[in-house]
Amino acid sequence: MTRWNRPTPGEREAADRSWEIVREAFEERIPVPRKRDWRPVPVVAFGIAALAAAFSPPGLAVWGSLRDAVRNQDHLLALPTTGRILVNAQGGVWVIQRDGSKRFLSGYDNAAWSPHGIYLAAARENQLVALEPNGKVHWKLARAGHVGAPQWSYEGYRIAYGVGRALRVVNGDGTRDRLLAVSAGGSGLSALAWRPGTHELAYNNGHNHLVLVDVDRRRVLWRRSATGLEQLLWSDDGERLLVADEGSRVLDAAGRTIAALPRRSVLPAAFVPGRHSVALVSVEKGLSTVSVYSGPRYSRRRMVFSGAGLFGGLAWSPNGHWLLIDWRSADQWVFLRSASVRRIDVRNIGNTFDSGPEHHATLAGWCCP
Amino acid sequence: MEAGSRGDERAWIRGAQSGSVPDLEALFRHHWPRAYRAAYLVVHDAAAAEDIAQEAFLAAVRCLDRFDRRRPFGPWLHRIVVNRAIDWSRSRALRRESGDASLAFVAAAAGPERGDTETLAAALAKLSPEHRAVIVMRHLLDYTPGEIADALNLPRGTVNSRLRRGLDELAGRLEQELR
Repeated sequence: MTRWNRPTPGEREAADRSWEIVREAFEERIPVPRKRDWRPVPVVAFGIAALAAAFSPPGLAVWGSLRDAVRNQDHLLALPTTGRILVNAQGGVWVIQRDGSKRFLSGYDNAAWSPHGIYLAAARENQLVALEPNGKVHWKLARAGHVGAPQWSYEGYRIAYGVGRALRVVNGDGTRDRLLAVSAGGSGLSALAWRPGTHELAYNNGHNHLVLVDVDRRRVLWRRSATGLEQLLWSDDGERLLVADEGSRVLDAAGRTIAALPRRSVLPAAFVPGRHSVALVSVEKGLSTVSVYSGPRYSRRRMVFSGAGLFGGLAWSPNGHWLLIDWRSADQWVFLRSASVRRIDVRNIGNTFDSGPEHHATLAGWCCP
Repeated sequence: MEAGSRGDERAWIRGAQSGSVPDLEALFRHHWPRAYRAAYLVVHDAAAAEDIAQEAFLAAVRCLDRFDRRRPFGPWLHRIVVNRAIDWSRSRALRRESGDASLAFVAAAAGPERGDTETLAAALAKLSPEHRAVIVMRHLLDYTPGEIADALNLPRGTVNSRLRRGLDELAGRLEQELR
């Protein structure tokens, strides 16, 4: 075999595109003096820490570093890393590509990415629709009631969705639609989650119980009491389940409680991709704070961002390097690098997605590598 | 692009460390083709190859200030590229979803001698990611088995056996393709 000297498909165009991104990252980077340890710097509740130290000379130096690390944008120009973002907004769904281009899919609601971001499942009044991000519809399924909250299983072979208070499951190709539970929900059908690597679905059965069901065998694997269930999230490996009900807790795959998180920790939440650590938002005295809890019992807490008002959503980038915070009260998206001070603020989010103060655009996922 | 001696590379890195965009661009343009080709020949997906090579360069930018100029840049970059490409291929194989297109080989622009190259790429695509990776590192990137073992964190014997089995299988696939 001789050495390969020919360009491979897409090589030259990819070089030009990538050079722009690499150059941008280079120009934004904070030059780090050799052997200096910057770890203390990013541990920042941005507003609090800076304000507390702002008037001392060392504080001014920190301010300078942070100011240099923050890039402000009046509009969303591009995503800072790979993947595509899905936003449920008034009157439809927005798909945002890596280069910042946005496509509006009118008339859809409650959209969710398929596991590799090739398709979306979305509701359109009484229909469940599977479509591509370019709007090409693959199949539709009409039901008697209002369709909501579709979610794909890990490999895309099953979709769970709600019709009124009922919970149904359909195959990924639109066949074999069947009823799973007559009454599910409680405070909302968003409280359902497929366990990765399985066809096991965790959901609220409507009787203040959280259940894990093997959908294919129609067998309840376990049942736990849960009042006011609002959100369920599995870690990528399917070994941890975050349950946001009246408190927030983390269960293992057998339904045993691993850790109870602070009561004031509320929605939204997001597991760090590929890890058991979880980012949670807590609200206290009008200040929202994003903290990452980690460790075997989730006893380690690292505060990463604070801001006045409410945060509407959290999403990790597929590579786990960036955390996107929908800072609803400030009409901003904040992109935070998870391992450095780098931060990008994007303003005018309501205007970007044609959503007024009464109709907030909702982050529905950042997909896929 | 073979221009660019070790001296040039050290100068580019030194320049980039002091903030020079032209030096960084020289480093990027010099190393991009092999990084992208290596990723492409392991994953056989142009978009994924672009992301993998790009992420490797972004990692380089992040570590630039700490990079030891005495070390060659290429092996460090290729280690990232090839390991990520293997991870991507494994993950792709495990998580193929309903209706997902197979890893289609996207043909290059037409050229008079393209047939052999396409055939080779198509045959290579049928090997496992682990076999593809060692063949790409050995025969595209010209690393020795010892260097490959170091980059992929494998025993040298494993690299040699993967090379031997991979090349045997590749020969068989090529025969089938050309039949």
